[in-house]
Amino acid sequence: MADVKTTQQAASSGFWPWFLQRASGFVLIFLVGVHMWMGHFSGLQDVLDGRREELVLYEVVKLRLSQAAFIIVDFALLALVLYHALSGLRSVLLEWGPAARRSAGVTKAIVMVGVGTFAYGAGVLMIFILD
Amino acid sequence: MLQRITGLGLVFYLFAHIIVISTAQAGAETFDDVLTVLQMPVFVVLDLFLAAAVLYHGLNGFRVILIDLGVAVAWQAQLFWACLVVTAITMAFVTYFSFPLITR
Repeated sequence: MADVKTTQQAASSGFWPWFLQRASGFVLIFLVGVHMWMGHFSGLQDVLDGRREELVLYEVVKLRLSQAAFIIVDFALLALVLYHALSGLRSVLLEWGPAARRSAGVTKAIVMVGVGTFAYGAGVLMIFILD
Repeated sequence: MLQRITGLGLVFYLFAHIIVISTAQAGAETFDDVLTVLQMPVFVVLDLFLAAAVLYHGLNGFRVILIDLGVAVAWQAQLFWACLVVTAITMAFVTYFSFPLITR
C-alpha cells in the first residue's frame, strides 16, 4: 500500500504539469499536422510524376527553413514535442514504485535530457538555416 | 493503456527522428543518402504505423482534455471508439494516397 501511495503522490504533481501537458498536446495536434504534411504529402505529386527524386532532401528542408514561418513552426515543434514527450514519460515512470521513490532525481534527469536534446536539435536546425 | 503505448512509441520515434535529421551535420550528401534509404517502401509502411499512432494519440488526447474539462463525460466510452474509427478511416485514405510510394 505504501508503494501505491508514494506512486500516486509522485505522479500527481499539481495543476501546472497537468495543464501544460494538455496545452502542449493541443498545440502539437496542429504543429505535428503541418510537419507531417510537409514531410509526407507536400510535393508527393512531384515525386510521383518524376519531377523530384524524393519527398525529403537536404535542399527541400533548406528551402523550407529559409521561410520565417517554418523556422518558427520547427523551433516551436522541437520545444513543445520534447516537453510533451518527456513530461509524459516522467508521468509513466513515476507510476513505477522504484522511480516514484526517487521522483526528484527522475525529474532532474528528464529536464537534463530535454534541455540537452533541445540544444542538439536546435543546432541541427541551424545547419539548414545558416547554410 | 493504448494512449501510453502509443506515447512511449512516439517518444522512441522522436529521438530516432532527431538522430536521423542530425546526419545533416555530415553534409548534404550524407543527409540525402540516409533520407533516400528511409523513403524506401518498407519505411513508407512503417511511416503509416507512425501516422496511425500520432493520429490516435492526438485524438484520444483531445478526448482526455474534454473529459478533464467535464465535457461529454457520459460519452467517454463512445468517444474512445470514435477515436479508433476516425483513426482507421483516416488511415485508409492516407494509405490509399501513399500506395504509389509503396509500390514504386
